[in-house]
Amino acid sequence: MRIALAEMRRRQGRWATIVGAVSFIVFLVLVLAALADGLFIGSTGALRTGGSDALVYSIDGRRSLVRSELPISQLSAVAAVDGIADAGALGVLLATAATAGDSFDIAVIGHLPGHVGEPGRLVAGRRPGPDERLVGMADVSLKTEGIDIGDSVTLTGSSQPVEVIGFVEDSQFLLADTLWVPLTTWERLRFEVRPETVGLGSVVQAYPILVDDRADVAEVASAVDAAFGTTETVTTDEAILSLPGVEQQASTFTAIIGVSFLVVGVVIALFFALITLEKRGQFAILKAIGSSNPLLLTGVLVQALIATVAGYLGGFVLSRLVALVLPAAVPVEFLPSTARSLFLATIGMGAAGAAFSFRRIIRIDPASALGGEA
Amino acid sequence: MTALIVDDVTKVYGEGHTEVRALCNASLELLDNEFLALLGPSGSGKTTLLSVIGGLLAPTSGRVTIGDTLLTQLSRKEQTRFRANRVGFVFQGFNLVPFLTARENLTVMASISDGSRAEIEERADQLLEELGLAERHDNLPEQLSGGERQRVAIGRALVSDPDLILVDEPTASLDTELGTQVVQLLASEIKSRGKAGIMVTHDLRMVEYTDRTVRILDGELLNGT
Repeated sequence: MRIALAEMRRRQGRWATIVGAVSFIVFLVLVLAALADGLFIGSTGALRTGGSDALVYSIDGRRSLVRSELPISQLSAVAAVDGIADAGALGVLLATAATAGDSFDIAVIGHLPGHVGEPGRLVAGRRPGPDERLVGMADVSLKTEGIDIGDSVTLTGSSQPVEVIGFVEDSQFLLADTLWVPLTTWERLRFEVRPETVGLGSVVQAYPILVDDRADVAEVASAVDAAFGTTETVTTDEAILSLPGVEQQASTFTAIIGVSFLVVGVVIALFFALITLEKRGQFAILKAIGSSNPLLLTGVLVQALIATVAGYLGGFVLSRLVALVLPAAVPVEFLPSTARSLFLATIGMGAAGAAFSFRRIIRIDPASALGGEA
Repeated sequence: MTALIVDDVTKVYGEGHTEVRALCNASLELLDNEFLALLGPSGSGKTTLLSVIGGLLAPTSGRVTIGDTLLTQLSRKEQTRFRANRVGFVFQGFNLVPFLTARENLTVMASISDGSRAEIEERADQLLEELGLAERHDNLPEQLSGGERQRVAIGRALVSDPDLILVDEPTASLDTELGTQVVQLLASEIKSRGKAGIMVTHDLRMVEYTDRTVRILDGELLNGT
């Protein structure tokens, strides 16, 4: 191992090449992963942080928070199904909002305060009470629109401003900023902004449900659908993946990241194949004077691990520097859990890449050290 | 005492029409404190014999005994360990590890042999002093002259205190004057330590520094024992 470390110390130029190559690929992977995480978080927060086990949709809504329509009058019957601990309601209204100086797209989400489905992470201010009117919680992303607690947001087509009384985080819906208001307020806004929905009466898009600790989510979902015949109940995870584009985005990014990791492995494998070829004579000499195969292979493995760790750190720093200059509109999220997973994957690919040279090293004949062949 | 017995060793490469007998019934004995020159033209089988003696190549038949160990009966793994502890090699050319300093090229044996690091480091410093390299211990091979590199190679062969030193054409990359100096030094180091040594050479001028010369031609030792 001392030989391997000395080689890296004294031939820094050569090792800088491989570290640099790994750094750039890791940088690419980290940025892609941050984009994937950012898109996922920005698309799914409204469902993910509501604390529900499952969501009830209308069967013809095909798991869509825009198409699904359920009468609010049915909620109490759903809540009474055996195994349900709590049931809430979610109504979604996609609109344009205006503050004093600007207008922007917004998803106004109606919910039942104090019930499952309301956003979980209040970071400032307070939540609206069940009977409060024309107040709401804004996603922290709305701060970039200049909104603060006490400000009012008015939807285009509505004459009733909604006062922001709190901020929640991680509550976006399909990358849109959200404003969470009590269901009664939401319905009034909906009728104003989309007057064609008045005829539908009091409907929401979904009932988020929380099941008893001892109940099975799938069984409760089946019981709800069997009881009403017009609903489709899916787990929250399934509902998240059913959001438009979420599953496709995730699988696309996973494929790109997977291919990038393959490239890490191939780059390391080619690098070690080349230096093994170049150091063939040296390996033969070391074998002749008594170096065992495990000793030589350990040295190669240590070099690969150091190169990949250094490459990862380089890529990590680079990705963070780039994140500093990315526009706020780009949805990137650098999650520690993703960084950890990618670190382990990088190390794994580095080791696997180096292992491709093992057979070649083992097959080097120590006898070739004599006779001037080495 | 007998340091080495090569007993009726034959090495055949290939088979049928492509069969080549690189060594034919070679027998040789070497005593402790004896430095032997193995002299022969290119292709005569001297490198093959050195490889078999060093446990780098398995003979087709015959036995090689070093000290009290029947080398040809050891497994490949055991032979590797045996080489690390009991056999020293000086290779043709310099064949030093290019990114290790002169001292590190000696102390590398601490990672390879069973000797303690402290012992090997102490012996390495002593050898570098004896070989006139004390001032150059921190230089990389590329910063050393040809003669200095060969002296480092001699130091590496001796640092783990082996019983047998095998030397492969030590003067091949050196001019006559430098080659003579290196072989003189080699002979002196081997003899002063009471070790046994075999030097493969095709240079007749070098045999005067050895105790005995054995000629090899077409795989046959002409005056082995």
